[in-house]
Amino acid sequence: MNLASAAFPALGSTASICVTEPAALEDARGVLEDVLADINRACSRFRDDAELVRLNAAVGTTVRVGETLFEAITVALRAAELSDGIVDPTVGRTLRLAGYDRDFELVRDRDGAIFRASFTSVPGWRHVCLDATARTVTVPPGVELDLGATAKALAADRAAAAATAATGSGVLVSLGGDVSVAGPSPLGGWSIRLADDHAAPLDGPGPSVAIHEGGLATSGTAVRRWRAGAPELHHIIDPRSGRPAATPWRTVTVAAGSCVDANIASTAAVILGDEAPAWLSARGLSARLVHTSGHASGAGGWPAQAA
Amino acid sequence: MNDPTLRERAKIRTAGLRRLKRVTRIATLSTAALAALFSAVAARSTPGHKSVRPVHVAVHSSTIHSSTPPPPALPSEPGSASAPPLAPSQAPAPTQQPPVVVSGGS
Repeated sequence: MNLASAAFPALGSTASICVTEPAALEDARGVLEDVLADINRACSRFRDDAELVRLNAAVGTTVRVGETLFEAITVALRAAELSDGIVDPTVGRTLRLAGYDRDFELVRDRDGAIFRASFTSVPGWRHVCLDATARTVTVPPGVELDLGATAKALAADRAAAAATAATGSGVLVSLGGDVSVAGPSPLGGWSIRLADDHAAPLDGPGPSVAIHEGGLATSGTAVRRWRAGAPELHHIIDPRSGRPAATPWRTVTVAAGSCVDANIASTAAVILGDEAPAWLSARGLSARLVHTSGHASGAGGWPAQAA
Repeated sequence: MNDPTLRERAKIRTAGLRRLKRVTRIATLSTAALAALFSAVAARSTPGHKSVRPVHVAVHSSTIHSSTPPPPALPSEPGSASAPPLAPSQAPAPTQQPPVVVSGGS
């Protein structure tokens, strides 16, 4: 089966789309671009015109929001509930104080020798009130939402489903390495290489796995890092400490029924540290965990040949 | 009414009514002032921003607020707001096919 693909920068990362019907590529890409524009307008923490920015500024008041932001917050709160608060969208304030307060390229290029990070406790997702009937959100004082953990995965799921519905082609969408597939898959499945960095070359070393449905996500501490004085920080916050997670895992890759679910589990696994293999296995989720030493292991039935 | 006694009585009654009217006005103004004073004291001692907000539990189809934490994750219908992460029906398999994308940190 001939596949066709395209890639372009998006959401501070890379968006890739691959289709089983080459003639469908242009339309599928258009669908992806529409979904990305919608998600970015709703969920960015760094665009002045983004709905999330306005919501975070309107602390203590009830705000009616658009469908996309409402869904993204609902998904983020579900992630928190399913992970017992380990993947928590109310980490926004401590993430900002830690220095992730602008587009990541600017954070990375800032003079880290001068910048000093500070941290604060994470208020907790239960303080956020949603009203599905009125489509309103109330964020209390002291709470800032960050949807970075789940919004990208939500966009991948939305785009893959919409693109296959629009074109009839099998579709794979990858947003910064968070992958969602929909529609008919190629013979043998969609082949995905696993690496520390989603920007690594396709023909580099490391295992590849094939998936036929759902999603695959990798969370890690190796890529999105910045300096704040002597220490280097990363973007995965442990809500129990309000600081970047101290974790034995460099990356965790999880396969699940959707990209959102895979992302929830991979992010939770990084934060949970040594408890992660048991947590994943208990939920029947296959995962590959790469230790900071470089040793890779599987959990939940992950194929040993692809560890 | 030409009787001097009657005119005197009428004057006394008119003067009494005026005094009563003045006392009533003073009492009314005093009551309003005291009410305003007590309202200000009460507002200062319990400002609005100290109020406790309801706690979000989960979202299904309408508003759900609760003052107690939600119960731990329970088995629920797939696709519902609190459905646990779904495993794919087909686990990932090792492959030698050329990859189409790289999954990694971003």
